[in-house]
Amino acid sequence: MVAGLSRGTLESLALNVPNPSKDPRSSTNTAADDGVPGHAYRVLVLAFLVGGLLVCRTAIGLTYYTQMGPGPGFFPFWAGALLSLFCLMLLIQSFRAQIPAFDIPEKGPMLKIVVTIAAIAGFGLFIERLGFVLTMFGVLLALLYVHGCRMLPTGLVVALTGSLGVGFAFSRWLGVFLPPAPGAVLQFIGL
Amino acid sequence: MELFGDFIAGFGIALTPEHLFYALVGCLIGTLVGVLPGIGSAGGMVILLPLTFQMEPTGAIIMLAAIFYGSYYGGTITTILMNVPGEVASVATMQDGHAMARQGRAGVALSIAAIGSFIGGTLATLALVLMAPALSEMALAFGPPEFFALMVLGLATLAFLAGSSMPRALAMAVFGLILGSIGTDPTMGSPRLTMGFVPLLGGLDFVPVVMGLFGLSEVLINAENPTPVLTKKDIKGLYPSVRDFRQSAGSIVRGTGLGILLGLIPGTSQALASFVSYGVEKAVAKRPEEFGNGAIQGVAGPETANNAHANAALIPLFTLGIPGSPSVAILLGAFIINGLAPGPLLFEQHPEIVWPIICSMIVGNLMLLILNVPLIGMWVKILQVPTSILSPVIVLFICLGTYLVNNSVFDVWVMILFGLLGYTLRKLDFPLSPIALTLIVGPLMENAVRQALSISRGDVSILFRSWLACGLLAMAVFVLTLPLWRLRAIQTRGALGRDVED
Repeated sequence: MVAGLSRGTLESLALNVPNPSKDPRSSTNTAADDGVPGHAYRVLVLAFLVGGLLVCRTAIGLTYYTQMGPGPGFFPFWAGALLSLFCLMLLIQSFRAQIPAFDIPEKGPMLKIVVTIAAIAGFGLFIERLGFVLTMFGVLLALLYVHGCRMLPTGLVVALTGSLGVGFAFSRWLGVFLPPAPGAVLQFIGL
Repeated sequence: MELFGDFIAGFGIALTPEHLFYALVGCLIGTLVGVLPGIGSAGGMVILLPLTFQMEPTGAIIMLAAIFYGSYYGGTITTILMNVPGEVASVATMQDGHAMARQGRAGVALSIAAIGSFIGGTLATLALVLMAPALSEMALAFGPPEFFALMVLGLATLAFLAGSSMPRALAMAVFGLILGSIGTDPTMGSPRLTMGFVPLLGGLDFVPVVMGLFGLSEVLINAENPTPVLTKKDIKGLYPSVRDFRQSAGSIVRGTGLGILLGLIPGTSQALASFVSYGVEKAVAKRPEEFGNGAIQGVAGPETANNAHANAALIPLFTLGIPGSPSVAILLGAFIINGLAPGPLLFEQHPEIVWPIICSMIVGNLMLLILNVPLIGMWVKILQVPTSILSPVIVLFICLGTYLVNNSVFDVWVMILFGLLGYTLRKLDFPLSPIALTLIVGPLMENAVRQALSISRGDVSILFRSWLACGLLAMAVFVLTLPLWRLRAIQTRGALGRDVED
C-alpha cells in the first residue's frame, strides 16, 4: 500500500523508477537514522518468536502422526518451528544491521488513533444492544469530530447518511440483516 | 470450437442488464477506490465485500472483479493530478504523468493511460480465455506434491518481492500459515490452536483479518499522515493527438506482453509489472533523457502493464485455484463464500458462472475506457473531499463489512486486534501481503502435503519424485537464495517492497 513506500527503497530501484519523495506518507525511519532505539522492533520479533514456540508446544500436544499419515499437529509444528527460526534470524540481524524505528505518534494523531479504536470497540459493544443505526450514528459523530470535521451540519448529514441511510439501504434494498434498535425507536422505518 | 461457443454464451449472460449494472457499479466503485489515495484495491475490495453478500454468485464476482481492475484505472488519476500514487502500481507513472500535468497535458496523460489500460486489460483477458482451459487440463495432471511445490514457489516469489527484508517476509508468510491452521482439523476433527474460543472452531475468518490488516491499519496510518487534498482542478485537452498515439503504440504493446507474462507467475504484483515496463521503456527509448520530464511512453507502458497484469493474474486463480496477490486472494474468498472452488475443475463444473465473469471483464474494461475520460471532472471533485470525512466513512464500511460476514461481534474484536497488529507491523516495515496470502493458501498447502505424505506412508521423497514438483521446488530454492548470490535483482527487491500489498 501507498503508506509503506519508502523513499530509500525507491531510490535503490535498479530500473531508475521515479522517486516519490513528495509523498508525505513515504517516510520509513530506521532506528539508526533518528537515534530512536529499536526496542519496539526487537520486542515484536521476540513476541513472534515466543508465539512460534508456543505453537510448537501446542502442536506437540496434538497428534503429530497417525497411521493414516500426518496428524493435526504436523503442519502447525513445522510452521511454528519455521516462525521461531526466522524470528531468531531477525533478532540476531537486529543487533548487526539497521532496523526500523517505531516513532510514537504525536498527541493529535495519537488521540485520533485511540478514539478510532475506541469507536470501533464501542460499535462491537453496542451494536447488538442499541441496534446498527443508533450505534453507528454515535460512532460516526465521534469519529467526525476527532478527525477534524467541526461543522455541525456537515457532521450531522454524514452521520445520518452513514447510519440511517446505509442501514436503510442494506436492510431494505440488499436484504441484509442488521440488528434493530430497541423498543419502537426506529420501527416505523423497519430499522 | 467448444471454447468459442462457451465464450459467446458467456457474453450472452454478461450482457444481461443485471450483470451490466453490476459491472458498471464495480467499475465506478473500483475507480473511486483507486482515486482515493491510501485505499488499495485489496482494502477497497474487502471493505465493499458486504455489498455482494445478497447477490447471486455471478453478479457478486463480476462486481468484485470490476472493483479489482477498476482500481488500477483510478489510481492513475490521483498519481497524475496530485503526484500521490492512488495505487502503488501507479508509482512508476508518477514522475512523467505529473510532469505532463504540469505542462498542461494532464488530460492527454489520463487518456493515454486509460487507452493503454483498456488494451492491456482486454488482451490479458483474451489470453485468459485462450490459455485457461488448456492450463486447467494440464493442472488436472497435478498431484498433491506438484500442488505443494507450486505453492512453495508462489510463496518464495512473494517473499522475494515483499518488503525490504526477505526474513521478515518469510516470517509473515509463516505467521499466515499458522493463522490458516487455526480451527478444527479437517481430517480428524480435533480443535487446533483455538485457545478455547468457540467461534474459532470454524477457523479464523479471512475477512476480519484482512479488514484489520489492510483497512483499519490504513485508517490509523492516515491519522498520523493525512493524505493531501487536491486544490487545483483545471484540466484541459483530454484527447491525445496522432503523434501521442504514435509515440505510445510501442509502449502499449510491450506493456501488454510484460503484464501478461508476469501475471502468470504467482507472487508477482502489478507494481512489479509497471516498474519493469518503465525500465524497459527507458532502455529502448531514443531519447531516454526525456523520461522524468513528461515522456508519454513513461505513462503508456507502466499503465498498460499494470492493467494487463491485473487481468492476467486471474489465470493462476481460475486454473490452479492459487491467488497471486492479496486482491486476488479476496476474489478467491468471494468464490469460496459463494460455494465455488477455483481450480482445474471450475471450467468444467461451473461454465455458466466462469465464462460470464471472464466476458464481463472485457465489457468492464470497455466501460472504464468510455466512462473514465469524460468523468475525470467528477473524480477530481471527489479528491477534494477532506480526510476528516473520508476516514470515518471508511471506518463505517470496515465495521459493517466485518460484522456482516457472520453477524458476529467476535469478528469485530478480531478485526481490531489485526488492525493494531497491522499498524504496528507496517510501522516496523514488515510486509502484510504474505499474511493475507498464506492465510488463504495455508489450508490448501497443508492439505497437499498431508495427502502426499499419506500416499507415500510418510516418505518425504514423494515431494521430489516427479520432474515437475522437483523443478518447481528447485525454482523456489533458486528464488529464495537469490539474495545470497548478490545478483543485480537483489537491489530491486526492496524497491518493489510493499507493492505486493496491492
